[in-house]
Amino acid sequence: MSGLRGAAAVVGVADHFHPRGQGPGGERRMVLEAVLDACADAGVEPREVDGFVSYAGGDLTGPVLGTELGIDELRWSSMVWGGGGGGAAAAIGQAAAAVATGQAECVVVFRGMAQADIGRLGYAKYHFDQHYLAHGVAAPAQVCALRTQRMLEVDGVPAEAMRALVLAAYAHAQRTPGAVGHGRPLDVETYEASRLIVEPFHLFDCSRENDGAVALVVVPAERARALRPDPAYVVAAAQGAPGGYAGTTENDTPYVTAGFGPGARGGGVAARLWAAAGLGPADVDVVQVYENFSGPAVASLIDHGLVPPGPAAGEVMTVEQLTAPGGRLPVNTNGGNIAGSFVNGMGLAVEAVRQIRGTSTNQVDDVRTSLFIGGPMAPMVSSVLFGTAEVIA
Amino acid sequence: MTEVSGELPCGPADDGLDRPHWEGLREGRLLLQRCGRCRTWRWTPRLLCPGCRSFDVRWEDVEPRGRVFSWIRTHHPYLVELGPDAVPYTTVLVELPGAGGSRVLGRAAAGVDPARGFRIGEEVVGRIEDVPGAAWPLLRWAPVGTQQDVAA
Repeated sequence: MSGLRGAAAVVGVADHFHPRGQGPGGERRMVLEAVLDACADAGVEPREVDGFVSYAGGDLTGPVLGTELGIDELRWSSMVWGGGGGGAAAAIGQAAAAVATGQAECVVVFRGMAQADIGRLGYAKYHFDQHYLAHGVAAPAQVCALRTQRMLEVDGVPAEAMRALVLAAYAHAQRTPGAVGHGRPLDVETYEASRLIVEPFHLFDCSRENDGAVALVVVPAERARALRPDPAYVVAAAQGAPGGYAGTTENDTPYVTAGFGPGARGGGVAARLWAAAGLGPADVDVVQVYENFSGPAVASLIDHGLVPPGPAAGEVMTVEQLTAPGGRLPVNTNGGNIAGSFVNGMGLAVEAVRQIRGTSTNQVDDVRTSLFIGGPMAPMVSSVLFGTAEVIA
Repeated sequence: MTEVSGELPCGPADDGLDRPHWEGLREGRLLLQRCGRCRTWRWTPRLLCPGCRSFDVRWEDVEPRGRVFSWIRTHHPYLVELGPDAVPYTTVLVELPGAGGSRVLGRAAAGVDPARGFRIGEEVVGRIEDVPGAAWPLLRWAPVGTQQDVAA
């Protein structure tokens, strides 16, 4: 177990979503609104915020936001370096590390996206070099499809596992006002009949894109206990990837992994997370797993030991088992990136916190541990495990 | 061929690291990087050998013959330069036994259905082709034992 265990907690959250291209006032305005709302949710004054963490790039630095917010003092400003949405959970880990070591007292983790400012992630073709583009590979969907195809064809993970993840997300969206899929139930026939994007992905296997902003307030455990009865304590956090993962134009060795698996000499993000937590996959009550596309999310669940590899994955990944409240492995209980909303995956972190508080629209019974898995099949990935006071006692 | 509506992005990167590969294609050769000291193959090009940390880089000929490691069929016209009529098309990731298992991407060779489904493990042979709209020749793949293979 690690020194981070239980030393920090999320005490404030805000998630604002708008249809793609319709976010009011651009990224900076939306992020500031989210930070103010997260502070109000936490019961802290905006001037008390002394740190900022984000991921996947952007111009909104700690000094920029601190100036706007009129903070007393800036003590921490960091960006997760590399990996895009893979760094989502790592951003929470950095904030927790900052407050757990006394380097800051109140750190905001945030992400904002406005199509007017940054374009669309799904068409980010200039992230790929000529060794991809010359062969018609221009988008994240295609690169994730290459790994997914091998997971299906060689490892034998059934395609129905991907479909079950999507259908469970849509089931959750029906009870989540504000989710893009709310009021739009999805059945097997509609899923199967939807147009192909890049095989093996159908339209419904692909994440949404929204405008919006998300913020979480992270404070030391002692402060958290004073602020509210239900902090989401950071039990463990881990980031990284096997050496060379996703950095060599499809030449990495552990190819059919979402990046959470072991490196050349063992370890791996998932294994380090469990070791630091002193817990294992069987101890997890509810999971929010970043699905840029359904296949990589299935690979993430396998990497974390929540789902067995190969054909047996289909035995765990059924709609019934993935759906709250009755399922054994409830996943993406706010509809996730696919049926809910998408601000680079950070809405899933807020949902993970709500499950600890007991305030999800698809609340799982007696939640003690709540896992958030960041963006899969990115060059760097991350996970964070939240727990109730009982877990870290 | 009418599939290309703009110039296809291809050719050496700005840092010049992969230029010998592209120059090789112009000469009808498949050249990949190999360490001059420990002889480890590596792809895509880098400065340093990840095996022995030598900067002694060589470019060596590789027989364009291998096995499908994975493949995809693209239906959404992500690459605008290809034009909307290019989809669906297949891209294969080919493992090259002649280069220590290095993997290269490529589309189906001329004469092969551009949307042909492949099977992982299937043996394929590469051909270096001039492609309309592309300023550099590209390596493309045909299944072994087909007419396209014989023609190569």
